[in-house]
Amino acid sequence: MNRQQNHESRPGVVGIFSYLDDVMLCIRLLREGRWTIEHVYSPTPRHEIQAVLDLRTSSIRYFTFVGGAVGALFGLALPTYAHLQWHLITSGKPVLAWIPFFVIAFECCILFGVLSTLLGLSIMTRLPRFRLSDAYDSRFSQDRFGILVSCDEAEQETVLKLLMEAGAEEVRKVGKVN
Amino acid sequence: MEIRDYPTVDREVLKALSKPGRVYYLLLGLSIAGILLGTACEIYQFSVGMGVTGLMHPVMWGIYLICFVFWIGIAHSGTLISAILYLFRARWRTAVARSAEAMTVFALMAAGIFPIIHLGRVWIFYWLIPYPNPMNVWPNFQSPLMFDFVAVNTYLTVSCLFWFTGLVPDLAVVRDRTSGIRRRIYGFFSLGWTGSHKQWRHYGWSYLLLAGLATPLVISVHSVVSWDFAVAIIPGYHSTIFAPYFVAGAILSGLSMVLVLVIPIRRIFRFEDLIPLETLESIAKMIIFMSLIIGYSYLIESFMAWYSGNMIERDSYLWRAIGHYAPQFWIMVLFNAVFPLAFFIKRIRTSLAWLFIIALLVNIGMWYERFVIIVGSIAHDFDPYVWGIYYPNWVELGLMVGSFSIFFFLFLLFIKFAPAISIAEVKEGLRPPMRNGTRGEKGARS
Repeated sequence: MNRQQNHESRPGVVGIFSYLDDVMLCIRLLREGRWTIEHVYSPTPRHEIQAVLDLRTSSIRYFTFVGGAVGALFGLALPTYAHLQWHLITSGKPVLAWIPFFVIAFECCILFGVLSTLLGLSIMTRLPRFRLSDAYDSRFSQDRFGILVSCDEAEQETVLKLLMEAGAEEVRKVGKVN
Repeated sequence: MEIRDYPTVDREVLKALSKPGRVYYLLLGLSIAGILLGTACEIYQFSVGMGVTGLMHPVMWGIYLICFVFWIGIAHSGTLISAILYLFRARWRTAVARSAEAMTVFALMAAGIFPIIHLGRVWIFYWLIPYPNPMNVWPNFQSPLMFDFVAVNTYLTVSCLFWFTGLVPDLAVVRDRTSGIRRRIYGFFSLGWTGSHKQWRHYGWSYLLLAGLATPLVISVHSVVSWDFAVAIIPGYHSTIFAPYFVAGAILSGLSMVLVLVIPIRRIFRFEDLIPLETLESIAKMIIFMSLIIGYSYLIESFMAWYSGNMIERDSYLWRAIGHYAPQFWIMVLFNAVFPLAFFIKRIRTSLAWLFIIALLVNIGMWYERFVIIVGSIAHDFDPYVWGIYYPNWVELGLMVGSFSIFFFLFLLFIKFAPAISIAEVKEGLRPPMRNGTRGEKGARS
C-alpha cells in the first residue's frame, strides 16, 4: 500500500518524547526510512521542528491577500452604492466624494483581511474539532513532544521499535491517525 | 524562584485560575455595584430624556464623548504591545501582552457604550448601520462619525479575534489540566487544539499576518477618532496635528493603564517571576517616549495658536490655559508631559510604587486632556454670545463610574477564567528540554 495515500484512515504509532533533540533525531530517521509523519506535537512552536521537517511557507497569506482585496473593493462599493441611492449633495461635496470613501475602504480591507486569515487558519488546521484524536496525549500541551507516524498494521512493530530507539519514553499503537 | 522549565510555567500561570481570595471578591462586588449604579443612571436618562444630563448649549459634547475617546485611547496599548512589539520582536512583551490585549477588548466595549448613550434615542442606534431599507435612507459615508462607526467596530472585531486566537493554545493547556465540566468548557473554546506542527506552522503565520494587519488599524482608529474633531471648524478642534497627537496620547494612556492593572495582578497572584521588573521598566521607557511626543504636541499647539495669527485660535488657546478650565489644562500638562519624565531616573522607574502612582496620574491627565479638548473648545468658540460653562452632573458621573466598573469587572473575570499570561509564548522563550543539555541536536542515542 502506498504510504502517501489515505493517511487518516490508516493505523499508526505515536511516540512520546521528553527531549527536543530526541524528537529531531527521530524525525530524521523516519524521513530517511520514508515513513509518513502525520503530526509532531509540541507544547510550544519550535522552529527546529519546522526546519527539520523542511516545511514550506504557509499558504494562509493568500487568504489574507484575497480577503483584504475583496474588503477594499467592498469598502468602496458600499458607500458608492449608498450615495447613489441617497442622491443629495451634502455639505457642498459631490455625491460621489471619493476621498472619504477610502477611509471606509481601508477599514474594510483590514476587517476582511483578518476574517479571511482566520478562515484560512480554520481550513488549513481543520479547526474547530471537538473530538481529540486518539493519538493525542494531554502531556503534549505541557512538557512532552510527540510524533505520530501512519503505517500499516504489519508495519507498526517496526515503527514502534524505531521510535523507541530514537529515545521515545513511551510508544503506543493507534487505530486511526486522524 | 526562577522559571526554567515548561511544567513550572503551567503551574505558575494556572494558579491564578484557582479559587480566588477575599480581595478578589471585594473588587468584584465593587465592580458590580458600579455597574448597577451606571445602569440605574442610564435607565433614568432613558426614561426622562437627555435633559437630565449637564449637557447644555453650547457644550453638547460632555463626559460621554470624553469617556468614549478616553476608552478608545486605553484600548490602543493592547494592540501596540501584542502586535507592533511582536513585529519588532520585543521579547519582553510576552509577560504583559495577554493582559494588554484583554484590556483592549474590554476598553473598546466600555467605549462603545458612550456613543449609543449619547444618541439619546438609543432605540434607533441601528440607523448607523448601512442596510437596505424601504425609505432608501443610507448613512452619510462622508461624515467622520461614520468613519468612526466603521473603524471602532472593525477594531473591536479584530481585537476580539486577535485576543482569542492567542488564547486558543493556552486554553488547550487548561483543558488538559482540568476535568469534568471545566474540561468540557475549556475543550469547547480551545477548538480541539493539539499543538501539532501543522497547527503551529499555520498559527504562527496567521498571528504574524494578524499583527501586520492590526498595526495600521490601530493607528487608523485613533486618527479617525481625532477627525471627529479635526474636520470641524471649531477653534481648538480644527487642527492638522490631531491624528498623530491623538495616537500618541492613546498609546501613552494605554501603556499607563497596563501598569495600573499589571502591578496589582503581579502582586496578588505572585507573578513576580513571570512578569519581571525589567518588563515594567521597558513599559516605563516607552511612556517616556510617548510623553515627550505629547509634550511636543502641546508646545506645537501653542506655537500654532500664536504663529497662525488667527485671533480666535489664539484666544481659544489662551482661554484654555488661563480661563475657567485652567486647572484642568495644567493637570493635563503636568500629568502627561512632565511627571512621566521622572521615569528618566532609574530608581523611580524600577520602583513599583512610583510606577503605579505615575501611571495612575497619567491616566487622570489623559482623561483631562480629552476634557480640555472636547469641552474647552466648544465652551469658548467664535461668538462670545454663545460662550458657556459645562459641569457634568450625577447622571453623567454615574454612567462614567459604570463604564469603569464594566471594564474592571470584565478584567477580573478574565484573570480568573483565562490564562493572564501567554503560556505558549513564555515556554517558547525558555530553553527547550534537551537530553545532552545544549541547544544543538544530539547524536545517535547509545
